[in-house]
Amino acid sequence: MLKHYQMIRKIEEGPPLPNGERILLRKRQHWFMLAIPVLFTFIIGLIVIVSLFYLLVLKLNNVSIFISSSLVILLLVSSIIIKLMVDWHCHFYILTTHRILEVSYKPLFSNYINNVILNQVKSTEIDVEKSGLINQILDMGNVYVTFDRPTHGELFSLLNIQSPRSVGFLMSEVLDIEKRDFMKTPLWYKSDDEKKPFRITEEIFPGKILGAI
Amino acid sequence: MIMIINSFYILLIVLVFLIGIYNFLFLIFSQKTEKELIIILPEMAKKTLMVNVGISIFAFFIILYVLLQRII
Repeated sequence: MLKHYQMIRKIEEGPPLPNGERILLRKRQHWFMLAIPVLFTFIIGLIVIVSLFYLLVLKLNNVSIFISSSLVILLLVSSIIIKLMVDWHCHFYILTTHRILEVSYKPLFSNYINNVILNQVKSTEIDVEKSGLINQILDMGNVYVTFDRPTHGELFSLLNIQSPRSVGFLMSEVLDIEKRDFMKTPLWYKSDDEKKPFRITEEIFPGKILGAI
Repeated sequence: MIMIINSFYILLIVLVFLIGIYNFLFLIFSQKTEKELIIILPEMAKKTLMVNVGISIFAFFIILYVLLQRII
């Protein structure tokens, strides 16, 4: 089940985006980030049930309370595990030709969307980090993208994702190559339009252009 | 000792009630998230949430019955 839900939906099945925007990458965090809290919750639940068994059945000889309290503990553990699964499922990163997006939805708790519009910022640095024995074995790491955003945090992080190196390389290509398309004809570049070679004109006498850039 | 056991049962009832309410609200908000983000939530998660709500209601009445039997 986890493999099938690694992607939100196959890229080919997605609806076309406006303005020619294309989705280049969709990624959730590594499955290990879900497995560890789930396992931890399960172990804690088991320890509590065993403790209750020792206390209520072996010491107090009261089976009905033990059954009731075990049921409650099982309910609590399954609620926590479901929450962890849904939170992991609703936290993902999207890279398109126009933007880079981090979405983190925790139903009933919090919503977080970080949307960086690529033609409004310049990417200065892309760092890939994969440190630790477990990260090396599982091929899990972080990608940090530094932007020149003076009014907001400069760092956009993709944390605990699988194959960070390939994601980093893809982002380097995208943020470099695609940016050229956005900045095809900014003001300080020579115009590509042969019919309008000049960007700024100044008219002093009606009908005649005296100044041109 | 009896008072302690009865208090424990009351605590269990309150916990079961709160867990049931939480699962119900979580299910509703998950459905809302599914519509907002166009994400397909795992069917297993949705079914487990519904089962949890059902078990909470069932457990609530069972524990309440046991408690009332002890008191009465």
